[in-house]
Amino acid sequence: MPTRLFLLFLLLPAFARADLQWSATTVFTAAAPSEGPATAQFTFTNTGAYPIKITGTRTSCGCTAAVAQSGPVAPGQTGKIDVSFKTLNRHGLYEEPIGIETNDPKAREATLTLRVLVQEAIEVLPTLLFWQPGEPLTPKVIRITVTDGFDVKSIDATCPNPGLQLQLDTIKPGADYKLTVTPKSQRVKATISVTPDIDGKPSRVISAHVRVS
Amino acid sequence: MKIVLRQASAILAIALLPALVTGLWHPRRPAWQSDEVTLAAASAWQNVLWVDARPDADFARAHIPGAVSLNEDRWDELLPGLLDHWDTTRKIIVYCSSLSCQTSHDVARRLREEVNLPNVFVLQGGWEAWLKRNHPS
Amino acid sequence: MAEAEPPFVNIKRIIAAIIGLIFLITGCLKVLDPAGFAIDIQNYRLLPWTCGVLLALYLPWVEILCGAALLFNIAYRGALCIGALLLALFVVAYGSTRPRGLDIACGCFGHGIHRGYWAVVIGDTLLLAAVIWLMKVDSRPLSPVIRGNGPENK
Repeated sequence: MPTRLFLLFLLLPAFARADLQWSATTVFTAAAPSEGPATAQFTFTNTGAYPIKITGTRTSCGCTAAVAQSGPVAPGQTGKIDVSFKTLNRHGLYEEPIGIETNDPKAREATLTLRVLVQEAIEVLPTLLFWQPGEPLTPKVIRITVTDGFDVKSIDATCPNPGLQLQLDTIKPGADYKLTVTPKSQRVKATISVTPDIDGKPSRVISAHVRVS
Repeated sequence: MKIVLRQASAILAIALLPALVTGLWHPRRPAWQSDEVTLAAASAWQNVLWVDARPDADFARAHIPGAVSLNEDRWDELLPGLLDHWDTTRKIIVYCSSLSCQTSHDVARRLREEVNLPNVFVLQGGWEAWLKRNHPS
Repeated sequence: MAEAEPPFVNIKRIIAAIIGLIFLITGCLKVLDPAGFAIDIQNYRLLPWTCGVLLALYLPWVEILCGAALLFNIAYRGALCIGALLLALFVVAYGSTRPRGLDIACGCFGHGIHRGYWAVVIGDTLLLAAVIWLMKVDSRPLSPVIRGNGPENK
């Protein structure tokens, strides 16, 4: 008898399941800053017997906005939350938690995760070259790589500061470039502008900085 | 009991080998050094450059004395200002609002990976931790 | 003469197999992203980073081996013992997060997957209870271990 009761007890989780079922609690999306904010959608289904309402959303920074559909979701129906992430000036992989509050008594709170990969048309690494005091003024290299999916015809690298010598070499046209920077003197502070030419029109300028102490 | 211990020991011992392989060769193996530092530990450091990753309005209201603002909304504009204050002897500690804030980690990651700066850390607990210690009321 | 098998032997086998499968899956998910798992461990704010890294590298493989052991009935009791210990430690560690003001993903099913505090605590407590029950009712292996003393080898 105790064994049977115990086995019944093990079945309890099946009855404890929340009525609000998410299709996915983590959504991944990729975006380029030039294309505007990254957007994604989280959908859920009301598997219970009563209407469910999203009563609030919470994001960890001003870069993410989450908007739940207004009004309750009837049993058997699906609802959604639209999320947007500011990509301007951002770069790399971001993981943003989104807190959700509901009136589902079995799951009053939930946390969703938005994963966003923000990539420019080109990747410029590193974006800082520096020479320490006493360090010989030998050339250093910035690698410029074209991101998959972008059709870059050419790259332009300019710097108004005459204290730097720039040499741009093509490793693989449309894919890989090397910018060699050589300071001509000490105490140089400069910004290099790297501009990709996409489909015949210039795109967002990426800055690389040089500091020679 | 002896059998249980023998079997458990065998499992624990066998698991060591793939764990070692993971630690040496897995493409997503973790870094051995954490990027987070407590306020207590940071207070003992010399030559710290504080970087405030919060929005402009929060920085303008109050910030750690001597901190430089660098948020991602104005990354291109603000980065040169940080570089003007930086040299290789300085440890950079980035902070945002609180323990749960992710922004400081994002800014720290970019400073390390894009700008290639060494000695970049994140303040555990963020601005809240600093306030708690310096203005307990 | 063959000994009578214990009661509910089929149910025990099923439960052991389910638990083994859970350990196997969760272990594999963690092995795919040890860096993410290290971050999940750090979020508990219980261990120094380096200890968390060691755990992130080692624990998934312990889970995988325990899962396989339960599934294929090899080193069965040892696997149950380790499983119980891991689950107990985990329930205590994760259970302590909310009282400490933390709202974190448990890291059980991979980095960034957040099931909700009570779902994790209740679900894993039940899993622990199942493992302890298996340890209690089992007085010998479910099926003869290849060591020459099973009923058909007499």
